[in-house]
Amino acid sequence: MSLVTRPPDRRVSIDASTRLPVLVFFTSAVFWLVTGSFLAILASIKMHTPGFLASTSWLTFGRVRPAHLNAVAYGWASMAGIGVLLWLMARLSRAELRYPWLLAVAGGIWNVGILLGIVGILSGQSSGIEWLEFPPYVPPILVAAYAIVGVWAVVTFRDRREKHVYVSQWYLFGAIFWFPWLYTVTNLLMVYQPITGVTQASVNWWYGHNALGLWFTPIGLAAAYYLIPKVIGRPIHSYYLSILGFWALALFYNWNGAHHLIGGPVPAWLVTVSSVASGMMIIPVGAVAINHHMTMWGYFHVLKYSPTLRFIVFGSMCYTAVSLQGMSQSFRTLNQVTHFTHYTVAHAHLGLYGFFSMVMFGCIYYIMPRLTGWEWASSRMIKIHFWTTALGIGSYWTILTWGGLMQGIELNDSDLPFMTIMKRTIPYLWSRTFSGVLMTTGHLVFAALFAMNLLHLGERRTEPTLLGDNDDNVATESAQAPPVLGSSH
Amino acid sequence: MNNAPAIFLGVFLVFASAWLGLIFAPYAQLSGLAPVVPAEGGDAYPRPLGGLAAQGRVIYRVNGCIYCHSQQIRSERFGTDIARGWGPRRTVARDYIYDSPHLLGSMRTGPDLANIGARQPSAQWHHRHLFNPTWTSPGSIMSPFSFLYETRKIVGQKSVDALPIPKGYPLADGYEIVPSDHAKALVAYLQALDHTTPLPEAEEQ
Amino acid sequence: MTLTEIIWMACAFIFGGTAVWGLSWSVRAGQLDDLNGAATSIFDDDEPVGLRTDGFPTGQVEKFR
Ligand code: HEC
Repeated sequence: MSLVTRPPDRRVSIDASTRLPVLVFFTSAVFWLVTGSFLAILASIKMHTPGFLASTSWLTFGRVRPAHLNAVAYGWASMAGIGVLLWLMARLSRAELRYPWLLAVAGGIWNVGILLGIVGILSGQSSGIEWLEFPPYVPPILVAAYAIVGVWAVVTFRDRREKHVYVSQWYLFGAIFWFPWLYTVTNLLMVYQPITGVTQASVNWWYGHNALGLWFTPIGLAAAYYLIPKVIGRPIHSYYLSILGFWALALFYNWNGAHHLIGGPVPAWLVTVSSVASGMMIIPVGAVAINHHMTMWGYFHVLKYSPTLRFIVFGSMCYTAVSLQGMSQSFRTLNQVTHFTHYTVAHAHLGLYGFFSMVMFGCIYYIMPRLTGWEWASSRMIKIHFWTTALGIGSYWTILTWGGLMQGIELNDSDLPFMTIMKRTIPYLWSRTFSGVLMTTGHLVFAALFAMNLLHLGERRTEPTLLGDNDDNVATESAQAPPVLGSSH
Repeated sequence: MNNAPAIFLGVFLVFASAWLGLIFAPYAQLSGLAPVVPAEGGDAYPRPLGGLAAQGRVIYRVNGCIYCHSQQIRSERFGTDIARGWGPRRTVARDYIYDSPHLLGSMRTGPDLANIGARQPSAQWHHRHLFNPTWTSPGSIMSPFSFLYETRKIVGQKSVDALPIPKGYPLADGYEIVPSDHAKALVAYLQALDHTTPLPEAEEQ
Repeated sequence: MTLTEIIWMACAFIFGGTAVWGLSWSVRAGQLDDLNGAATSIFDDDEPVGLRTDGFPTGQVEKFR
């Protein structure tokens, strides 16, 4: 084996080509994360203390809540996701991004869309469609920005120097093509040329569910499939399973959405098909769970050192949990209890936060130093970030899952007056605010850390980027330092 | 060996099939639904909303009532919606043929509102409740919608639609609280929410 | 057969057909020929298998425990 078959700075120059757009997307994402977190706390407080800041229309619960959802879904999660997508696509194709500044423009346009959308919702122009509350003038802006991103990802792929299409790329392609489909079709059918009635509800949940499963999930899984092996330096356990998992996701996920309407006024076959498809999700989910776990087997101690790995493995575990929970919720017996309760809210947060957001945090910890050439300033702050968010989402999920179960069981007891049930949920709602404050604290720490990295604040580090025990064969990514080859393994 | 187009087409097609199944099929099945005229005569059901109620629906939508209220009654065999008195029968696709955007809702922090017009016909009750939910429902965690109301000086006679103010509420002498146009429209919409008319397909054996 | 049923059938065909087709492409293109090699395609001489590429930062910070 020759030591160097290509210039050692190849990877560095590929990373560098993604610097501008990825930093634009990440910076915006962090901004929307913080904004969305404050909107979340505001909405959460309003649920148990309805009089709080209630005299202005802009801050009524029914507007703050969708503003929160859209800020975190399209601002934070999507922008972080696109940043990761671009970086990963360039790296996996082993090709530089061309004209990166155009992608930065796309990031700018996307931001304008989100800003207009959030202000639109708060000012009372919400479309009233869950997951698509942005007023009708916003979607075209987002689509325009997205078009640039999608085309660029494809162009980068065509430029590829790596022959093999790695499993992460399959997932990325899923996301790249599914999202515009979902988004434009749903907007057409619900906003611009609306169909009516329950068919619309079916489209609505097809979108709402798929946004999670066919946009966020593939990006999250693509990142996990790349970074887990990369960080620990070990190929994934079963490549075969990973490909199988991808195809199973593509086949079954799409059909799941209508299980949001179980018991509702829709044709029974629709819900049945959805529930069956939800059950089939055991295949893709099992494939991912087994694979990630087995890849980590014997390497769990690395979680002690690597922030990236720690966030991503946490997220990956949440993916398994949230998927199994989602499957169980599509069964009628459980759905009869949990539908319309806080249980569903807990489930949604486990998916978008416990899984996706945590994976994104992990990615950002890995990617940023490679773009800015500056190490993270403080491992203590990273630790605070990890523990506040992990405990935050953990307590959030536990509290609302339990509270939602109680609420559901009580709602199914018609002798219990509604007001009694409502009052019994209040302690859970308070605890939720507490969890939210915990997570937001973490986000503020993270934002500070991120800004310090971006602005090269703190002490300049001359040491190799990485640490661990010195006898561990960890290596630096920095362009100057010679590659440290793995020793005996 | 650039197989990129092939991959793209594959992903595209997989997606298209579920689209047919989940979107087109229900559409094909349901888009033909029309109002029915009861056998014993009378108005066709359902009817499109009247002007004021239609405006009220917009107020309902933009102020996010759906995040706490559903508008769907589930079958007797699924949950206790009917036993709670939220409606005499389950709601079916025909009930919603004029709805756009749909407001079925996904959360029940508050009660289902599919039949609130039949259950609570009083406009004054609704106005007092919306202005401050705890006036009618002590302990309620529903958000107050006082911004839909105006506090103004009484000129001449007190307005007919001025809200009765509970004792202890800090309102200066000579002032009254009246619903804005938005509030009136919203209440007209709530009063129009009524899916109690029997439908053959909603019957359960 | 009703319209819905026809659509169902059509879906099933497109649905299944596409999956088969997509996978068969992977096979034809040799994407699945060497699964062990495939899994290592993200490594190279620069960052070979066995090399860890991440850890907590050093500098002024204490070691992470
Ligand atoms: C934060 C959640 C929340 C929001 C937002 C909300 N509600 Fe409520 N609503 C409740 C709760 C809880 C109750 C039950 C207690 C009560 O009667 O106030 C309720 C009760 C009601 C009732 C009485 C139902 C009955 O069966 O007596 C009506 C009518 C109503 N809401 C209308 C609305 C309208 C209209 C809006 C939007 C402008 C709205 N609500 C927004 C939580 C909410």
